[in-house]
Amino acid sequence: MLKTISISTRLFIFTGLLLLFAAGIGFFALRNIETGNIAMSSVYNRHVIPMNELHSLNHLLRTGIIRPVDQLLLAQITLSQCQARVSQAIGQINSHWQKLHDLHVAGSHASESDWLNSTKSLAIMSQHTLERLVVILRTQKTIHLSSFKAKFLDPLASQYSEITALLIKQHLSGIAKAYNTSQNRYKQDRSYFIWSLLLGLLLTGIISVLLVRSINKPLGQISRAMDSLMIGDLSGTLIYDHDDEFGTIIKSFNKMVTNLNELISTVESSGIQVTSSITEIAASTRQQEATVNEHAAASNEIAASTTEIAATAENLMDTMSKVTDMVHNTTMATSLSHNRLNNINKIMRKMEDSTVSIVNRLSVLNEKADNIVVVTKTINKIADQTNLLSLNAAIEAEKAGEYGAGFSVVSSEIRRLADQTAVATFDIEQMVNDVRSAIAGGVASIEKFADNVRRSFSDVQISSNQISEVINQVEALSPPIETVNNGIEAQSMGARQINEAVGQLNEAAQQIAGAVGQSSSIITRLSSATQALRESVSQFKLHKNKT
Amino acid sequence: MLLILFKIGRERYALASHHIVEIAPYLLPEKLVAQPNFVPGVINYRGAKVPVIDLGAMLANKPCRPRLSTRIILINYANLAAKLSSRVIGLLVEEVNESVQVNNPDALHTAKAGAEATGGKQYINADLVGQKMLQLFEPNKFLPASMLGNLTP
Repeated sequence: MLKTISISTRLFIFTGLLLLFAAGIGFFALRNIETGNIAMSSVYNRHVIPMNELHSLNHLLRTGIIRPVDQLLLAQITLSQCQARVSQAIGQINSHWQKLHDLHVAGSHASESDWLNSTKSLAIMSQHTLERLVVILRTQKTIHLSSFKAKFLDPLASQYSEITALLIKQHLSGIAKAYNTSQNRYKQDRSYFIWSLLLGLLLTGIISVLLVRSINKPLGQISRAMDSLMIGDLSGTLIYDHDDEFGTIIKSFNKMVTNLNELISTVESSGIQVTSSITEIAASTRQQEATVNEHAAASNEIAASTTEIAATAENLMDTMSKVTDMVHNTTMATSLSHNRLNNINKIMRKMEDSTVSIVNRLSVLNEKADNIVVVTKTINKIADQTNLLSLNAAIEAEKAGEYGAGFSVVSSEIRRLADQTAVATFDIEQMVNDVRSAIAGGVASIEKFADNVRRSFSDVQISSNQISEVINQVEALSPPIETVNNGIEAQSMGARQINEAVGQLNEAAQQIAGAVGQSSSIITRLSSATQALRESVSQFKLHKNKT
Repeated sequence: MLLILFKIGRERYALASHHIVEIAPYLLPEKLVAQPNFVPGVINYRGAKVPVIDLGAMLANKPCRPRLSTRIILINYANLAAKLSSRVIGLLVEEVNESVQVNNPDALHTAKAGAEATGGKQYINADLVGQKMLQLFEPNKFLPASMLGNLTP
């Protein structure tokens, strides 16, 4: 029966019992307090208030009546003053008596009527006495006053004191009786309270222990299962036969464990798949990275090449502009040189004429030299014959002996002269020969020069013609140069555009490379994460039929 | 004593003037048949036919070049072996320009005495002719009769 009651119901019942117990005890205590209170109020009404009233009456009689009378008798106050004070005190005494009477009427009790009866006669007597006093005072019979006081007022006062003392004694005994009664009741109630409290605590403890045990047992079971779940043991299921909240929790737990089993085996297989996929992705990323790097390198090369092309094109443009200038200059220069060539032509004509005249003169010179040679030859012959003659003369002189000695000297002198002549003529001959060879060389070189001049003349003619042609061609060259210049400019612009495009491409490639690097790092992280996942998953111990 | 100087080939010679009749200029000789190559021919000397011997061709195997200084020395040639008491022949030699007067003829004899040591060649004392190496030309020695025997007059 207990198995089917749910935990909440059990807790409700337990809490209700506890509340009922507390309410019972509270009610009991409240009732006791009320009883005590009632006893207290009855004591107050029946004993304390009458005692107070009696004490007040006694006091009023002494201070309000007897003292003014005494003072009047001693002539300390006037009669009218005494009259006023007495009448006031009488009113007060009457009101006190009335109050006592009312109290008696309110709390009429059989046993308490005794003391009131005894006071009733005192009341009547005091009223009577006081009425007489009033009459005496009104009639101003002060002579009777001292006797009246001695005869009535003093006994009245003593009677008041007696009765008051008696009544206080009676009331004190009543109060003591009421105290004892209430004390007994308190002790009895206290023992009842303590016993019921102890019983209640005992019951509560037992029920609590039972209740806690019934909660604790399945909780411990779940906790142990959770602990084993925490270290990855998914092999066990919980058994709990109660049909309460814990039953539901444990059923859910078992279901969760089953689901976890399935999930983890799925995760495991997925992890393996993910790992293989990541490996493939990493490989392809690496490939991609390499491709991107290659691409970046290639684009860098292209960029460099295009930069070179642009630079070359710019250079070419500069060169072309220079060429244009140069063509212009060349045109000027060629026309100038054409003029100069014409001048040269004229000069050469003159030179040719001059050389002809020089050659003529040289040939004249040659003839003269020939004449000189003839002369020298003649001289030479003469010298030779003189020499021969002198020799023969010397021989003849020798033959003549002493007679021919002088002639021998003459002959030797003649021979010497002849020799000197011969030497001189030889020298002349040599010189003439030199002159002739020089003339011959001069003629030859002049002829060669003339020949050169003639050839140069024809060359100059040809050059002149060629220069004319060149001038024409150079003049015709300018338009194509313009075209080439435009083409080069277009090429330069194109190269620059290509360069920009390649730069953008390169940037994109670098971004891709960065992205690839990022994805590579992500993949690495993913891989390590998967590895960690697989490791964590492998920590789980699964059902045997599942694994 | 007067010596006439000349040159045969490369060697210099001196000929004593007493052998010489006259020095004639180089005239082209008239050729003769059946004569050795050192005999260019004959010349006319004062109406007489005088055979000319080219000493260059004969002694130095080098015919004399036709120069102004190449001259024909006419000598009185006397050779017993050829039965010639005296006759004139022409010697064609080169560089016939100078003469040397030797005052001491005995010096030549001392030179002759030392000639045996120089292989038959007779050199004149150098001191006599001013530093030139000269060989004394003796016509009888240089021109054997056998050589001249066939010369027609």
